[in-house]
Amino acid sequence: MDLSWLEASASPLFQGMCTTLLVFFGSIIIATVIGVLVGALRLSRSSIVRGIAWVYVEFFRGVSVIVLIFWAFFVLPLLGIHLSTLVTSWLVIGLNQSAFIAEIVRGGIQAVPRGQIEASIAINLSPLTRLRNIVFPQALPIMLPPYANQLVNTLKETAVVSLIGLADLTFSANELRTHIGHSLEMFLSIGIIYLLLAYLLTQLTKWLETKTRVEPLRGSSANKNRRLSKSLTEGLSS
Amino acid sequence: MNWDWGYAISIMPMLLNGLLVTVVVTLIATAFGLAGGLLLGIVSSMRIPFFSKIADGYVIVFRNSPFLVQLYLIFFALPEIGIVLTPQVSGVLGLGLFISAYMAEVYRAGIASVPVGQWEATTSINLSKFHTWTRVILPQAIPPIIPMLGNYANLAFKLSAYVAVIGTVELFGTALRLGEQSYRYIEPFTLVGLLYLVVSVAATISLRQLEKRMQRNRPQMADL
Repeated sequence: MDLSWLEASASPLFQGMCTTLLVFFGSIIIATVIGVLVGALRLSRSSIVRGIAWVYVEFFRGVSVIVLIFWAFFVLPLLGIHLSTLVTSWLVIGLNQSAFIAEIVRGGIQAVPRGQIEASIAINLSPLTRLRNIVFPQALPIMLPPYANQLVNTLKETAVVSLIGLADLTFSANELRTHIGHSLEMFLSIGIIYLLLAYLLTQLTKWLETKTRVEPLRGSSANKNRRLSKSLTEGLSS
Repeated sequence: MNWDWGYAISIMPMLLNGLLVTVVVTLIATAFGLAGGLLLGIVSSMRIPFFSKIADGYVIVFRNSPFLVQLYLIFFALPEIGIVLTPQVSGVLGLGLFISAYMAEVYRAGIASVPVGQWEATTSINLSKFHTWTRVILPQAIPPIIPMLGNYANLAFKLSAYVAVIGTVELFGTALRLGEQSYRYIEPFTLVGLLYLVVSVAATISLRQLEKRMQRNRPQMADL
C-alpha cells in the first residue's frame, strides 16, 4: 500500500484542522452571545422588539450561508467595509448560527412551567434573580441537547470558508488533491477528522448535560417538588 | 461602486432561470431524500441485526460531516474508482444522500411515536409484516411528521447552492458566472441572496401554518 500521500499531506491537513477549529470557536462564541440575546428579545414584552428579533431570526435562518459568505466577501469591500477573511468567516457563520441558537434559547425559556415564574413573582424575586435562579437553571438542561446539535452544525458549516480562500481542513484537502492527487484518501481522511471532531463535541455536551441536570435521572414527582422548593429557597437566600 | 438598476434588471431573467434549475434540483433531491429516508427509517426501526446498524451508521456519518466534503467526495473522488458523474448528477445525488440522513431521523421518530398497542394489535390479528407497515404503522407515523419533512426540504433548497461549487449552473452558479464575466458582484449576489431568502421564508411561514392546522385537526386517538 502506497502511503506517500499521507506523509506529504499530514502537516497541511493538521494546519487546516487548526484553522477549522479557530473558525469554529470564533463563530460559536459570536453565535452563542448574540443567540442568547436575540432569544431573550424574542420574549420581550414590547411587540416592536419582538418583531425586530423575529425578522433577525427569519433573515439569518432563511438565507443560505454559502450565499451570505460570498456576499460578505465580494460586496462588503465594494461598500467600503474591509474585513479579513477570518473575520468575515467568524461574522457570517456566527450570525447565521445565532439565529438557530436564539430559537433554542426561546424554546428553552418557554418550556419552563409558567407556575415557576408566577411563584417567583409571588415571593417578590427581582426579575434578574428570577431569571438567574429560577428560569435559567431549569431552561439550561432543556437547551443543551439542541445546542449540542447546533455545535455540530456549526462545525460542519465551517467548511464553507474554504470557498473564500481560508485554508481550513476542506481547503487544504482540495489543494492537496490538485497537487498530489489521491482525492479518495484525502477527502475520506478529512471526513473522518470532521466526524471525530463532531464526536468530541457531542461527548463534551453530554458531560455538560450531566453537570447541569437539576433533578435525579429517575425523578419522581416528590423529587421534582423538592427540587422546585430548593431552587425557590436558593432564589430567596441570594 | 454603486447599485446599477439597469444591470440588475438585465440579469433578472437569467437569475430566474437559475432559480428554476435550483427548484428542480431541490425537488429531485427531496424526492430522493423522502424515499431514501423512509427506507433508512424503516430499516433502522425494524432492528434487523446487521442492516439496522448499517442504516444507523449511514445517518451518523452523513449528518456529522460537512455537505461540501460529501460533494467533493462524490465529484472528485468517485472517478478514481471508476464512477464518473456529471456535475448535475453529482450535485443532486449528494444533496439527496445528505437529506435522506436527516429525513431518516424524522421518519424514525414518527414510527417510534406510534403506540405499542398498535403493533400488538397487528400481531393479534395475524397481519402480515407488509400490511402492518403499509396499512397500520406508516399511515399513523407519517402525517404528524410532514411539517418536519418540509423543514428539511427547505434545508435542501438552501443547501442546493453548494452544487454550484462543482460546476452546476443553478441560481447561485448563475451569480458566480455573472460576477466573473462582468466584475460586478453587488447586483448578482444581492439579488440571489434575496431570492433564496424570499422562497425560504415563504416556505417556513407556510409550513408553520400547516403545522398549526394539523395540530387543530388532529384526530383524537382512543386511550389504550
